[in-house]
Amino acid sequence: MTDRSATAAQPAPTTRTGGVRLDRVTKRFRSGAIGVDDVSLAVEPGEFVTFLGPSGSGKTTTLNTIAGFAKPSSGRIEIAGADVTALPPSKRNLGVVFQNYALFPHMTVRENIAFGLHGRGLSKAEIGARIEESLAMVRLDGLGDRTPKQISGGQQQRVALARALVYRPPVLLMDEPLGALDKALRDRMQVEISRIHREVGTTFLFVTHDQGEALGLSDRIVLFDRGRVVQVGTPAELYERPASLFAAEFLGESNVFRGELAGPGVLRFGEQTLRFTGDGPGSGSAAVVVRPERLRLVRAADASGGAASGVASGAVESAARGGAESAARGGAGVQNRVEARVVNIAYFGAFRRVTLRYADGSSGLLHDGVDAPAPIALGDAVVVGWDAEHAVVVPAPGPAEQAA
Amino acid sequence: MNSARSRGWAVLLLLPALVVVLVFFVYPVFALSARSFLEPTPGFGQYVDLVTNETTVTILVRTLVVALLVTVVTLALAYPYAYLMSLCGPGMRTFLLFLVLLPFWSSLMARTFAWIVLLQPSGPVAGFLGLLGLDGVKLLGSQLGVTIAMTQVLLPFMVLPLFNTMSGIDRRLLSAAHSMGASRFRAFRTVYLPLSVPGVAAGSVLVFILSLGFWVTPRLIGSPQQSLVGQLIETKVGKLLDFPGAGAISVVLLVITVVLLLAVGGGVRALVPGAKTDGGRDDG
Amino acid sequence: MDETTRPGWGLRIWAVLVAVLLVAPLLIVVPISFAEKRSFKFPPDGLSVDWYVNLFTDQRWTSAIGTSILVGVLVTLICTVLGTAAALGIHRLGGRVAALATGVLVAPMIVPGIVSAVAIYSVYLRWQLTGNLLGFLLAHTVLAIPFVIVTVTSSLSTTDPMLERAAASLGAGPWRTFVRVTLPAIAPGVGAGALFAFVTSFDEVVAASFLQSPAIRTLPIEMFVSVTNEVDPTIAAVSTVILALTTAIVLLPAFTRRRSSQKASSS
Repeated sequence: MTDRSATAAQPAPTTRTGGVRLDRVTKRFRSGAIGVDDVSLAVEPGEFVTFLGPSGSGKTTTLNTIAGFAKPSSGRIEIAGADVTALPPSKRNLGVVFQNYALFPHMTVRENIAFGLHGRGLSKAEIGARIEESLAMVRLDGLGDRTPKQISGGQQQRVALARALVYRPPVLLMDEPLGALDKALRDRMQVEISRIHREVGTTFLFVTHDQGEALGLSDRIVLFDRGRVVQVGTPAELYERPASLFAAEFLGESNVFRGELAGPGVLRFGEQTLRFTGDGPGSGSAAVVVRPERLRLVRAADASGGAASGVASGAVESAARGGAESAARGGAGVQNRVEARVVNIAYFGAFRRVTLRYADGSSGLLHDGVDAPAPIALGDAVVVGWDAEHAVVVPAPGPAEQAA
Repeated sequence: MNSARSRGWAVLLLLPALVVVLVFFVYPVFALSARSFLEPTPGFGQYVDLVTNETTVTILVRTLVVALLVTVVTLALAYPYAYLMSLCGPGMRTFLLFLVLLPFWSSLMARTFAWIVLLQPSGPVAGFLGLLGLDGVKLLGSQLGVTIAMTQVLLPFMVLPLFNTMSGIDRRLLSAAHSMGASRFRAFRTVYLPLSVPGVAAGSVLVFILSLGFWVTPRLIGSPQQSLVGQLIETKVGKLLDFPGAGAISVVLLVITVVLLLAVGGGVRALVPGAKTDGGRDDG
Repeated sequence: MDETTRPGWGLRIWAVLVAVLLVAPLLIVVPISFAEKRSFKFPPDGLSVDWYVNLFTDQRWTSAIGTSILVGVLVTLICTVLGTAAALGIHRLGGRVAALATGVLVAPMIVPGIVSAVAIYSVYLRWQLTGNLLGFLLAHTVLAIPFVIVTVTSSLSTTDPMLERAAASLGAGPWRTFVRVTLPAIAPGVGAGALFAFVTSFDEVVAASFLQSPAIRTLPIEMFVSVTNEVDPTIAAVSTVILALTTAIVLLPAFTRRRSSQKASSS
């Protein structure tokens, strides 16, 4: 019932007007440190966009400039087509959900929600109706008279959402809103937030450092690093085609093979040649990135180690060591093969996670399916492989460039 | 944020109180101190007089001795009390806290009057001492009486900072020490005692400073022949109108106070933790 | 609880003795206040309420009570408004300026009582602020304001700074944010500061003894004069009344807490 009544109460055509544009926004702090470095961004009305990045990457500062809590040193911010750069937070007509909710402790849930309806020219009856609608939307009917202390963390989260949405702002900002909740509650609230986003049609800007939240919730992800936007794209784009080593390593887990480019679609990794498809930097140092679930066990060698030296040739001779080859699925088809040693095996139910050590000393991961796991043990020398289409090449500064 | 404008507002909010305190408190203290260096002739004449006048030196030393005595005795009384407060259950703790806050909030005059009654000749304390065979001990009008009364009056100022610190000590640390084989005494001495040092320092400095500047209790319970520095300042001002002389002694007290506060670390802040619920009420 | 950390008997007995020392000397004034004769003899020989009658009828005592209440209430108002504003300013400013301002504002709490009193007297004398109400108000204001600063500052530091941002994001301007959000959040600190200010003024003897004249005396000064010049158990009656009020003040938070928690659980 709540779904329908809330949707009905929310006249659909009036929404989807709240785009956000950032034009070359820079925030320099009084200390001289740069919080946001020349960020330009266009968020479409009704979109769910997540700002993702490690702490200190500028994602929250960017959100704060949009909210008006931080004044950009230069640049321009537009909300719903209007320049708001010089406006105080109270005049920007935004909804904000804070990290620890910032519910007013001396007010009831209802009073908290009513706070933002003040001075918007609504009658008492309308205000009452709006509050009940909001409570219904976040499924808190009947809890309006409690104080924030008398409800659970998850319920406080819902009140914060209701409070920020009740006056129908064109844009809702959320700063790590799920950070204070435990894992199970976080997963439930993600579903709730998705549902509410669909119902209200408001533009959602969501800040998080949690890649799971970013992947699960967003239409698009904006990836931040050291004050800059490093990549913008759908969750699938960011995961499948990371544009940088940072993107590859921050979002999801990766096997990274650093080497030198040697012609189109070819990277020299040690003495081996690795092939990849798609565009990449023309020459110089680069890295081939492979996701753990794309990596396959081509051959499980015996514990005595010393896997066949022929690996480097790229064509493994049919080594007949204990029939290990037969355990590796589709091993024959893979274009790239690399030798590795098993340093850890962890069982996760849905998959098996094998930690590998490659010849160059770097470590990597392989996720093994549940069916017919190959019999491998700690210390085994193995050969892993992948298809060229599942590898992405990204620029990776060599040791000399890194030092510069 | 809109830093320039919000800073402007902040200064505006701060200004009235600051002006009032600067004009009606800081300036007077400054002016009194200045007079000690300027009158009757510029220089350190007042301070030379101060250290060469035997009576003044005797009174200063006596005041320091009494202050130290009061500090040590209040610490000895208060430490176990505060320790028990930090150990017992919440109900008992509230009750014990109530017993401290009652005299803390009570009128200083009422408490001093109570001690006049208690210490009067043939009063309850004299009677008690008589039972112990100590007849004829002079209490009212003696340094002993002053010390006893000041100890009781200042006791809350020792208990509160101690309790404040002790309530922040994780009691599981003691259990941990016991689990590693420490005896009760050793666990206390090696774990609890060092952690309670900030409270001891804050309480001791507070009580010592308050003792130095105490006037009401010594004035009413002590005698002019055995006066403390507060009475000396009062006599200089009230009877002799010797403001420069009073100023010199005041500067000495101020210097001792500041040095002690700096020594205890964090200066003012060391006395402010009491701000949570109680603060350091400065009567005296 | 770990058995090994349970307090021993020695500690308990010591604590009982300290408890007696803390409270018993206060209680001795109660029997004296009901004495029949003009004497401080303990225990008193006979009982009467004469001294209470005297306290509330003798013009000397009633006018001192009136002066003390008047000065106390005015000082509380001034200190609460100025002190709360200053604490807000300090909180917003932060940094070295705020630290310096705090130092100045709490100085009256740290300067030894007799030094403050004599300094105030020496300057107020020149400014003709002795023997009149204004002098009392100013002296007590500067002596009491540190307590408001300290309690309100500590309240502000424990208040979630995000609350004000939240109010702004919900469209509230600075004034509405202050009245509806900040002030309620720091109300306990402001209340405690106001109580401190009143008690500080109502109880202040040292500065008052210099500023007083026979024409204007606060209650503690009347008590001081009485105890130095005469044997008058009226002072015991005053002390008993003050003790009763103090007990009420100290118990007040416990009761309000219980009431509010009852309210909370009943809803």
